[in-house]
Amino acid sequence: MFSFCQWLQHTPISVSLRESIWVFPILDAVHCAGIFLVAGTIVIVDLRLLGFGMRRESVSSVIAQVLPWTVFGFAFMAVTGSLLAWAEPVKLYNSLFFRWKLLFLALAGCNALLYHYTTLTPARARLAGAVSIVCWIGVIAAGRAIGYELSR
Amino acid sequence: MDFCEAFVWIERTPVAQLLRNSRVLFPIVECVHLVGLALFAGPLFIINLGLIGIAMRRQPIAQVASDLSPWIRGGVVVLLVTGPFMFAAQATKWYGNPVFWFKMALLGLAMAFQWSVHRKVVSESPALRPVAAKLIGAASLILWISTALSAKIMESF
Repeated sequence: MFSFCQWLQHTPISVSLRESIWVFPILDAVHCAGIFLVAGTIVIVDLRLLGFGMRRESVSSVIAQVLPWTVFGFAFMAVTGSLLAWAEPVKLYNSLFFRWKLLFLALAGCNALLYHYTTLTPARARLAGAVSIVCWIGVIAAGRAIGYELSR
Repeated sequence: MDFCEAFVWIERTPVAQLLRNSRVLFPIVECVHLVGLALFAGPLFIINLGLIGIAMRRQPIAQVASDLSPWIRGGVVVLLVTGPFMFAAQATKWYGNPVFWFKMALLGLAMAFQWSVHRKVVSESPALRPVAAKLIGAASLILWISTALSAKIMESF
């Protein structure tokens, strides 16, 4: 994996992304906007699962109306995130926080899949909401920490 | 006392020094700020898309807004409590940063807009004035996204 990261680091796209004055910060800004869109909309669903907010709407109605925008944000986040990772693969390979971020992302993904594809008791639905909130706070915190690591 | 002296004074307060000298305190405050931003931005985005007419079409937007306003208010409180601490830690650095002043001006504008025009159109039925509702939703989105982006830019300016 490390040799793959080294190879990736030396591809022309990686070099030009890393050395660009504007492209990297713009990708970074769009990436952040994507994360806030994803986390901010999913937290509406999570809080509804926990029984807070939008009580006049059923959970499924909130999900049906809010989740498409979460997916919309996720597309921005994933595309810009991949390009950002492409720019700094070796540093990210060595970054502990990057691993934490991937772990939280994977957990959030599994949690969402479990929610959508298994039958749930109300207690498990609440648990899914709580796990999701914790994961997304983790993604934001670890992501910010990567920023500190990269600029060091 | 002008702004510059005030900023120097703020930066010398014990709280600001504590934040500056600790390795973990500032990042923690920053993370709380960012989580507050997510809590604020998600509902705001949904409400504005509702005003524009491309989200939450099954119910009146006033209902969506009143359901989500606790999260928006909570997010704003978190942002307004943590923001000044982050500012205080490096007050003099921000004094000389034009993007910081731009962000604060945008923030003032966005907040004034939010709690006057935006609030009014959300509380009445946008069906009465659909074009105005769309424009106000779009304006709010642009104002807040610009505020957040200038916060991102001012770090590296």
